[in-house]
Amino acid sequence: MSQALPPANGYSQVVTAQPGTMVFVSGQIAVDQHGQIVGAGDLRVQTEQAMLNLQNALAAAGATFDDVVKINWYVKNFHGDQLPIIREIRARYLNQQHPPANTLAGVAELYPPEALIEVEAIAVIPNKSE
Amino acid sequence: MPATLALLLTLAQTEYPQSKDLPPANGYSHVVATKPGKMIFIAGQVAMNKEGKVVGVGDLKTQTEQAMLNLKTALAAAGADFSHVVKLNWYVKNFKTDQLPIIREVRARYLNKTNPPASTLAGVAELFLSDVLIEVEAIAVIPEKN
Repeated sequence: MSQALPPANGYSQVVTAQPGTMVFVSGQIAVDQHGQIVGAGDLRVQTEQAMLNLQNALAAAGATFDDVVKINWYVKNFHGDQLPIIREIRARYLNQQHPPANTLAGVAELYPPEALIEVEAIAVIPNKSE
Repeated sequence: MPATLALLLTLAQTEYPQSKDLPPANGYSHVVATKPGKMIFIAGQVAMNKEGKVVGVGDLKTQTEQAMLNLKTALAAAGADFSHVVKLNWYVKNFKTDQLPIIREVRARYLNKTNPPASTLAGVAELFLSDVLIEVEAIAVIPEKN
């Protein structure tokens, strides 16, 4: 924590991690396992599905949200009034005591065009101490 | 060390786990997990030649090619190549879905096809020069030898 930084709502300004297995997850969007968009036009449903996909991707590498050190959001045509939706869903997945560092940017377009939000993450699984 | 041995070591230290719960990934991996090693962070590369002039004005294919060439050069400067890249981030000005085949085609010629890196793409409003159509940045890890 730093007294010189503003309060962080649901994320951490700074995260440090000891060396361990690093997990890089591609930007996840609201598609099902067949690649079909879920929740067209509905940011809440899409954020939920993207976080579920991120959870599954982390699990494939033996990681959980507790291991995530950085999370990046790309939101199509972002407006400030959408932030409560993203924060509410994000809070249900992230470790509330130690949330990751976080960046959000509003972007012009995602792929496919129905995608309203994309979320990517870096996780570090600490080495087991012996 | 022979290149093949180096490649084997890299593969042993870096995993590309699959998940049946995720959709198919076209030319990238959803997840890449790597053991600790030398980390390399490459600035966003654009289609500039070494004189700082934009190459391929108005031509996404040429710009993607030049940006990937610059990325390759930057990796080489750090003793790395595309087999070490664990993450790519693409920023495309005024991105439209019909541009994706161009990017995928160029990308595929540089990346390891069996084990490509994780990737994220975002369409953006503007890049740092108005003639620049695409920017690509990378994280690479050269695993420790052990």
